[in-house]
Amino acid sequence: MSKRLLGALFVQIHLAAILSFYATKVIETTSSGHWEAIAIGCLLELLLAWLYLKGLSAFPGRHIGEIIRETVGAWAARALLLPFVAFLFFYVILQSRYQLVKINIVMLPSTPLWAVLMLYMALPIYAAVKGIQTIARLGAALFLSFMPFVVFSMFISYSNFEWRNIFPVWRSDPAFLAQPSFYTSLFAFSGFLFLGMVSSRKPVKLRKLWPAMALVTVFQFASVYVPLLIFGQETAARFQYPVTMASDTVDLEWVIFDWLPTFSVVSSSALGIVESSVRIWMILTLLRKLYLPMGDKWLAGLVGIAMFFLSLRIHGMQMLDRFFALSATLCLYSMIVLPLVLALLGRYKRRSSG
Amino acid sequence: MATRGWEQLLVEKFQGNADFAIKQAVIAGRAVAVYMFESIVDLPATLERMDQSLVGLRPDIRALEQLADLYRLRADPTLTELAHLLLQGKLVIRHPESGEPMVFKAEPPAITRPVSSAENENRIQGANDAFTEELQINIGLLRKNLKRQDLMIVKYSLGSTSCREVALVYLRSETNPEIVRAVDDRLKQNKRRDIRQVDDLLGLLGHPRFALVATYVSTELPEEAAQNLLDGKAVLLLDQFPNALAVPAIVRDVWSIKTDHNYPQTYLAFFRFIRLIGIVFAIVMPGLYVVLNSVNPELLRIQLALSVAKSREGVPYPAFIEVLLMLLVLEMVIEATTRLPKSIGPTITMIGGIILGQAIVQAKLVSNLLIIILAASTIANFTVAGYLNTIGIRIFKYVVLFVSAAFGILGLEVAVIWMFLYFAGLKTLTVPYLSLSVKGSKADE
Repeated sequence: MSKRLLGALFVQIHLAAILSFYATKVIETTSSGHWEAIAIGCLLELLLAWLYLKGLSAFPGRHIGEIIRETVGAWAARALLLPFVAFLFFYVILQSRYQLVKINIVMLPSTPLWAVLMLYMALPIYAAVKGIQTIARLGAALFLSFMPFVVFSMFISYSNFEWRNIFPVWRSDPAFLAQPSFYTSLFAFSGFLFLGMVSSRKPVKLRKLWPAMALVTVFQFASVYVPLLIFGQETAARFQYPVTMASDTVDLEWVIFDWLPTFSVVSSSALGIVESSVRIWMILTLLRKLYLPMGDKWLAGLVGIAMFFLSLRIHGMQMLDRFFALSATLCLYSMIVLPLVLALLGRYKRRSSG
Repeated sequence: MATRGWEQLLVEKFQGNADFAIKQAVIAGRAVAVYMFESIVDLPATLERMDQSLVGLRPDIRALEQLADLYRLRADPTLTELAHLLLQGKLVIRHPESGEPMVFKAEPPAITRPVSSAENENRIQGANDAFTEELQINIGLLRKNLKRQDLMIVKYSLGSTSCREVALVYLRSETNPEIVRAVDDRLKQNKRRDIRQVDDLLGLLGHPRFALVATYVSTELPEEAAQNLLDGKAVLLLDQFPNALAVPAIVRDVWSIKTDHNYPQTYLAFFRFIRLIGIVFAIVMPGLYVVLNSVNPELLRIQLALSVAKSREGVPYPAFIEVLLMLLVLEMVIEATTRLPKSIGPTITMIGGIILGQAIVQAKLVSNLLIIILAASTIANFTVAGYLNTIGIRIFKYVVLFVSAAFGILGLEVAVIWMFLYFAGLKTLTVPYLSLSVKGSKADE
């Protein structure tokens, strides 16, 4: 996979999370100095991604499943990676469910949820069966065709910015670190984990990814600060979808469409499809390698059906929030333990080979 | 092969064919038996040409052998090969001494058309000569266009019951060797498969059978084919088929025509931009009409929504049926006019214009707006480069229409994503469809 494709995919995976729940969680976390929470997340990801890629570079052409399996044995690999697979699995369910509620509210209030869900899940599963190369090309195509919408829907509301809402800028006590929603917001930083699955022959360098990372950081700040600047902390904290709400505050004469949040929902759901495809592909690859050696199509069918029904079992936003908080542990495990394990294995490999 | 037997076998094989002839002729002072199909060989002209090449030589067996050097094609053909060669319009002569068959080139009678200007592809700036049915002429046209040392031409005779010549043309330094190898392997492996139509050839090359987009570029202009070669594609020429097939097609071919480069860069960019917009319009418009009319009317500004609703006043069925009905009529008009004789074509246009334009609106069967939308999307459809691609887009807009009728704007979005996904998954002859260049192995949109 070429560097550009990888970069585009990296941006999209992050953006999908940023545009769905990230802003809500960050605004929930703290009442002032939001940038601190964002910056901590960014630095954490930078550090972990560096460790992760460092470890990966010792094993060119392998994905993490193979690496762990070959170095510490099949059962250890299964045990180490089970929480990761579970995290991916629940993440896809929660994420698509979250998107679905938004779609349901903004665009299709009378269509039954299961029908929309079926449509929304069929594409990622189909894409996942076709493999990461196909997903990467799809990602590139969507990047070109939907990015303008993302940028448009995020920044159209600039005329409503109230710059005094930015204060207070500084917050000295890091009390937000104790908030569970801070850890839920870290979901948005777990995107780098997919780099361990693409098994490229040339090791991916963190240096090469910096334009993508910079872009992601810009969007992370924007997604929190755009609603914050418009509504202020008190109001923004009450919204389930602050970014979408922000795009609803303007009335542009020259756009023939009246209902501007549609752009936001359309673009974020398109990104959601790319993200889900990548994560389902990761699930399928790991499952096939470590747990269930089956044909891709059967496996995808099973995973898809399981996701579809589990996702339908979630009733209401409260339940969704609770599940998000629950899977934060899985997320933290995958984000912290896997890079550490890989870095150690890489070090060990380099030592032993001279 | 038994030296005497081949004649009998040949006669048995073709007996009952009125145009299969065994003639006695004098070549190089020797009376020889000549086997041929009279309908595709002009014997007197052939003999005259042979005599001309023998001017100044003593007519004897050596002269005949020298003639054989000049005209002979195959050293020791089998019976099937002999039959195939005869069917290709060659001359088989019995060697007066050894009795073995000798195959000679022959002059064809005047049953091929000369090189003329293109009939279906119009270029304002660009060479206008077009391919003909004759393979040899087509190869010649390509050679004339590309005076390069590394232009390679490989010929294959395919088929067991019929015999079809196919030429693979490529540039050694430009074409991706993997493409050449893939095509070459497949053509060699399937030597005995009969090729009747392009369809058969594509199936043999392993192109997907039910592809939504054309996986090859078909052109009747040598200039276009030459440009495709320079861009790293391989070109297949099929005998008795007046179009060159450049494989594999990539997404770029939907909006770029190679002869665009005969214009200044700005104009080229403008043309391509228009085509891109055309593609978007053609695919999205009918679906969007249904979305804005029946599923998500709140998307529109209220004034606009009202005027849309007003134009549909009195139309007795849902927007989806309305669009589908009109689209089908339009498709029929397009389909009917494609193959009609040029003298009847205008009639259809006129009748279609009356029905689609005025009468159907006045009868309140469809809305004014729909006519505008459909006309716009049909015009947009034909801005796309390459006739084959227009068909793909024509089909694809129905997918968009159906999904958006069910799921509104989300359906429209999902259908478009599905299209991208389909393209992303498509791979012909090792090249992914969503690449911008055939040459490199890297693929990106």
